[in-house]
Amino acid sequence: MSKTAWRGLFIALVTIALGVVLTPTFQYYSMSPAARAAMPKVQRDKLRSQALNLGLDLQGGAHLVYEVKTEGLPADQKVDVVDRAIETIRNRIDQIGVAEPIVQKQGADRVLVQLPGVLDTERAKDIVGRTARLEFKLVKNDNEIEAIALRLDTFLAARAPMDTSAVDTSAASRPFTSLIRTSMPGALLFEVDAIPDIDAMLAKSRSVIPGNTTLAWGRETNDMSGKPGRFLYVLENKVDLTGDKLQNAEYAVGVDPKNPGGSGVRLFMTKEGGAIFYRLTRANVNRQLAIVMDNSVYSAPRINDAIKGGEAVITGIEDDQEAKDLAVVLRAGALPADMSIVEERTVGPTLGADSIRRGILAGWVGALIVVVFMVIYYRASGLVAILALVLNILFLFAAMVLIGATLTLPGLAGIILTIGMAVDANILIFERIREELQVGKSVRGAIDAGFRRAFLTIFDANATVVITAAALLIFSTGPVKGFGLTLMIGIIINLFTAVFISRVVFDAVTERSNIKRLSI
Amino acid sequence: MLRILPETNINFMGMRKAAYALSLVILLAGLASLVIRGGPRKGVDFAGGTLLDLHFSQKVSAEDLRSAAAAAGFPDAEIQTYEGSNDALFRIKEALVQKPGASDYATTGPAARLGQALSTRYPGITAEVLRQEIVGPKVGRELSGKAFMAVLFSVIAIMIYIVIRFHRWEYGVGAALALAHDIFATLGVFSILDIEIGLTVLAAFLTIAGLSINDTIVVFDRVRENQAKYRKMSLFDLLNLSINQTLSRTVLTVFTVTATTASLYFLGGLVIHDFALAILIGLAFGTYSSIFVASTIALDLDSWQQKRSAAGAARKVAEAKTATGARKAAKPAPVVSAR
Repeated sequence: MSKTAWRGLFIALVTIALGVVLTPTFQYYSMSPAARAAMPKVQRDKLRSQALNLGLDLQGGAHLVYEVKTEGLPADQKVDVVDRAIETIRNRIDQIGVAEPIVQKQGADRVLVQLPGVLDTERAKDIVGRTARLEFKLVKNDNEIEAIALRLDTFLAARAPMDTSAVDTSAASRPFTSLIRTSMPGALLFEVDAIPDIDAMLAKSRSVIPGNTTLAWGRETNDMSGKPGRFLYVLENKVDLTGDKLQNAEYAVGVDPKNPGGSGVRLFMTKEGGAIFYRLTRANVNRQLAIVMDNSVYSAPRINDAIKGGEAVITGIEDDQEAKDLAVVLRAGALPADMSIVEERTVGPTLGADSIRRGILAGWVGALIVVVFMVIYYRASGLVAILALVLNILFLFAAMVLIGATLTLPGLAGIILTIGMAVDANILIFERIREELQVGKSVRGAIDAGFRRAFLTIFDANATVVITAAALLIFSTGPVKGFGLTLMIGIIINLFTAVFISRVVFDAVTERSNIKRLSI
Repeated sequence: MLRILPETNINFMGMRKAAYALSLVILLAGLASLVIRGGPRKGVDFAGGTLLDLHFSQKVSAEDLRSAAAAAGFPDAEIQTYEGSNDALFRIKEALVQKPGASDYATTGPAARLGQALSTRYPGITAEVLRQEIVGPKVGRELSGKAFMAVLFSVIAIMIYIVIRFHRWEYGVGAALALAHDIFATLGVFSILDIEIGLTVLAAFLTIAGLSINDTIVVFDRVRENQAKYRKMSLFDLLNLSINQTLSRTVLTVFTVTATTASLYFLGGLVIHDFALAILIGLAFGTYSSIFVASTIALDLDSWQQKRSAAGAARKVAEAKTATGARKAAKPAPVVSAR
């Protein structure tokens, strides 16, 4: 095989590979919202994760930057207070139920929160912005829990229309307990997928839940034979101790005499808190005490004995990270981080969809003008430029999927601009070939000289665009960064498509047949 | 073969005095506008504040919008409405960020307040938030600083790149001045048109820099090549020859970029409108400046350098002679015309 044939094969393989990379993107975004909703969740999430990410300005959502007050704190505490804020925010966002939220530390004292697709951002901000509420509540004993579960069953079964055709009649008579996968002292385990159903059931049957009882989901997701599950805790409604009575909490190793290497968390109460804690623990030895922040249960350790002096230790925690997280949560409740929004960008879903529609329209119209112009002006060679242009855009999208980049509205504008700029390389080459033909070179000679001489110019020109794109990547944030990225990737790929691929096409055509006149 | 331009033979360098004057007029006009208006009109991104783009379920008169804004506590709000739509854009100087620990934002947020203020006059009206941007003053200042750094970084980095690639500091300075010229001129036009500068417009400015330097490089590259070919030709003639040789490419590329940017401007929607406008304006300046700023400054710096060099008066005279001779001829090298 000739050199050109090998190169052609290489280009074909790259194109196919990148086409495969883009398939999930086409599949995902060409689906109607209804079809998407009808897809099984696992499959949808997989497809979604393989498709191109859309920025908040295109899919709608909220971009919030919180600043945590760290003035006057020593350096180590500064880090801690931001960690506490992040933990608090994460917990709350999980409660809002946003798919794929981003909570990220930004700089020293800021937290970036991105909530894609959130319709009611005002409500989301309310929930995230609330001061952390840490409470200690006793867990109900198992007899009581069983009684409540059965009562829910009876109540719900009586109200739900009986589905007589159902094969499993026992499930119909036990709508609540049939969903329980397993239980442990003080809590019932459900599949994560069943949580919305359970929440709906609980909301309906408030009247049968005793007034002194409250139900709260665990924070952690437990793996139950491959499926994610979550505990529902049944707690006393009475708040025995609140976060403000806690002075501090720290991660500690070697606090468990039974397991010297194990990790734990040490609690320090205020004077008042210590007294309350003593009374509480003395009266409830062997019961579980749930640590609840903003309505999620982080842990429910058993009270071993009456604890005097305002210092307690939580042990028996499975791994280090869990213990560290628990300490952060406890501190977040003891010393709520003072934070406020310093930047907010919200785009409603209507505008996002509108931006995509308009952007795509503008892109097509711009591309059409360029295509028509190139074909009229350069004839067959214009077709080569168009092939290069199409591959340039295709590769650009594929590269963005591969590096997990996010397409923003300015990024979309950058791609449309790339359409106009990408053909510049071909114009440079073609004008050069024309010049070489005019001074009397043969077709092959003119092509060779045209590509060779234009290459340096194209390289230098593209390099400077990369410099300006880099400035945008370094010095900007959010959507504009996306513009810098698409511009940079697009212009780097341009060197490959406009120069290398065009050259292979020219060579393939002129190598075999002895063309006397070039259509340019 | 379709040609957009006949073989051109324009004495661009001979027009440089007029070009300098034109640039000066453009820059001074922009500067005057900037001074009168007290600096560029900063958008929410840089000045801080609140931008609220709302869609109302009913048509609301501009007057009612104003009184509603006043009732909602934003008497200074700038309100922009669009023909044939129920959308309205509010610009409020204050950054209406959520107060720490506040949890009643859903009822006290700016959109909710405006909706409430309108509901007496328009029963059942709802306000959908299309876009809301709130930037605190501190973040605004930081973003301004970063924007300035981004522009500075690009201009200096491009200058260094050119000096390295072309081994001539005159080219680097010429290119950097051309970039500064383009960015400043576009900034001036934006000030005259009273359009806000936000983050996307900044991105457009940097794109302008990239496009403008593209043209400049194409010319300088050709000069480098021609220099090797015609060793005795003066820089004056080399520049003229190279610009003429690459002129058709310049026109074609300007056309394709204008085509895509114009379609973005007319069809791309409001959010991207100013971005596209900045590129359209900047593209015009950029094309002009690669010929009439970058090249002319490189030429003048070069002759200044030669005059300054220790060769003495005699050589100076000789230089002047060749220069005037070339200008009189105003004709590129015979090779080109003899084709």
